[in-house]
Amino acid sequence: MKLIEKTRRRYIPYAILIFIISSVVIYFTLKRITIAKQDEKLKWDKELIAQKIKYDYPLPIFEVDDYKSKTPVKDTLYFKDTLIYQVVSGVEKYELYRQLTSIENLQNRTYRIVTRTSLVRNQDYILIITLSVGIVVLLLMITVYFVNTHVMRKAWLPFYENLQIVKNFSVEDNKPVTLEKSGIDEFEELNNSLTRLTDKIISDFNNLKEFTENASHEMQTPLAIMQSKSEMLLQSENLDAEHVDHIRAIYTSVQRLSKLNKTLLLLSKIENNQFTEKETIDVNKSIERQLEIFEDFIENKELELVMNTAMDVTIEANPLLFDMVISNLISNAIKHNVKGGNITISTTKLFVSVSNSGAPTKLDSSSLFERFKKESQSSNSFGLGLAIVKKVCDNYNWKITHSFAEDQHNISIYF
Amino acid sequence: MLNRVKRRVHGIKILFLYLLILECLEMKLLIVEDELELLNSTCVYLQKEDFVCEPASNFFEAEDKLLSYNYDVVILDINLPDGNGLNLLKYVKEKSPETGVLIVSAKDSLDDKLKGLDLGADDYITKPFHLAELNSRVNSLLRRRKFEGNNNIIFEEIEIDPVAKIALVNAKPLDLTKKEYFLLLYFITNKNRVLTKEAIAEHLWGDNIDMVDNFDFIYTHMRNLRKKLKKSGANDYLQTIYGLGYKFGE
Repeated sequence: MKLIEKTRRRYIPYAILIFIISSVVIYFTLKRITIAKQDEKLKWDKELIAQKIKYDYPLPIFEVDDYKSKTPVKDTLYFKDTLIYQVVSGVEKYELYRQLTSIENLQNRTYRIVTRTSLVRNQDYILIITLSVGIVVLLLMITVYFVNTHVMRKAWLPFYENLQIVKNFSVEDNKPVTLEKSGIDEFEELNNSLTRLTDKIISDFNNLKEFTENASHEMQTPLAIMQSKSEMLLQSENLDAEHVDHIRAIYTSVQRLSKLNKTLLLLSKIENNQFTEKETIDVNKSIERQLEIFEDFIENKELELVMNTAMDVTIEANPLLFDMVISNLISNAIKHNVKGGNITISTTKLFVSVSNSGAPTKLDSSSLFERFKKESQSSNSFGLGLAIVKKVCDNYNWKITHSFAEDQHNISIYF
Repeated sequence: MLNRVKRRVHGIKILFLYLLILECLEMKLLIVEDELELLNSTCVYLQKEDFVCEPASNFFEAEDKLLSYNYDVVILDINLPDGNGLNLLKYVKEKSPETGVLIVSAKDSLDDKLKGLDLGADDYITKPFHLAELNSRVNSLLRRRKFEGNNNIIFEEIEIDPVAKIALVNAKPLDLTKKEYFLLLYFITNKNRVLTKEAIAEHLWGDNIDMVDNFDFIYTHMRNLRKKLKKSGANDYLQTIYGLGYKFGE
């Protein structure tokens, strides 16, 4: 969830709560105030009536209610809301009234003065006022919401831009990142740290690359000397069986070492993205080329080869790397096969898959592609073949999967 | 007196002519390699093949030798301590385009290879290499260059025509597969040498193929080649050296 989204989502419930509370508060305050005013007015009316009675003015009285009490009563004031039955132009209805009942002793008589005023209109006013205030509050909130979003977005814009720059950062480009200035202290601090960090990464990467290159160079030459010297030794006359045995051991180890060195170098080169040139490759042609090389090995194991190839399967990749992937897949399918087994190679526009018969692997599908993972420690291979395939796939964003079912291993690469 | 002088001059002339012919017949190689031990083994191995080998251990020495002499083949390590071997390559190709150049590099990089081949190098080999492989490459380079590929390789009753890619025994063509042909050529080029299984495998299938643990397929080819040679009446020159490889020769 984006930060803006998060603050927004937090904001909405609060805003609704405030909106409801403020509406309720406004409603009741208004109601209270109007009732107080109403009551004042009723009192004033009652006072007027009382004055008129006191000084014997004629009263505009609608109903005369004889209220006589034997004992003189105390003056009282009593407010209440009441419903009054009315017939207005033929429609019967009850309307809400505010009523003041007061009992007063005037000119030795006890009067009950009832004044009332309709509350209906007031009620309407309160509702309208509350509603309009509510709408104003709502509008304000919406405005604040959008303004806030806009402001936030603007403030975070340099952050997102820089994030994109950092995301696109690749050590292989060997270019230090240049981040946008935001004028916000926190972001500036972050930018400084990021710049420092990426500069360090670049320099470390360069050192590592240099080291790998130097180490490999330094290693290749002694290996070449060892190989040539052991080959020279093999050529000498009068070697007895024991010597030949020793030399053979040295020779084979040198071979293994130089092969390992070469493979590791290749892996780091793929990792370092040093195979940049791309071409359109005819996948089927590449497979055919590799199969020609492996012809002897397939025949030797008496494997049955099945090809399910679609027409015109092409892909954009480095030809050297792609050949290597195909070569490793086929060599893997031969190595882990049984005598008289089968190999099925399928290609479509979407994937290349190589299946082979064989025993179930002790390795699980994910660790199969790791470096130096091999079935048995005694095996002569380094367990780097599939690691190379995986690295190349990662490089081109291809998906590689391994499955095993009904004595068939399958490795597929989805482009 | 005058006659005697004339005769002597004539004799000297003949001697020079003889030397000149000898000069022409012998293949002259310049090996540029900064690693002395490697330079030494390479020289010794190739000298046994009746090549005249001149070692040069740095850029300066190599340049000096290239200035004074012509070579048939230059084996050139492009990573030299005092200069880039590619510059030497440029110089060789300008001075005598007919000289074959074989680049040796410790870096197995495509870049170097392409650059080298662009500049006119004839072949490229990566360190570490098998001496037999180097010898085989030099020979094939010489065949391509010096004789426009028109010389047949003869070993006793076996004859190989590298242009038509056929082998003959007692002038009768031998029916060989592609692999068997290359195997025979490799053996004859490196006759009387112990050739390891690894070197043979690398020669026939290239060095990227990761099948070290299985050499059965070499036996199959070897058996077939042996059978075919025998059937056509050739002597058995193939010796198996147990656990190591093979040797071709008397």
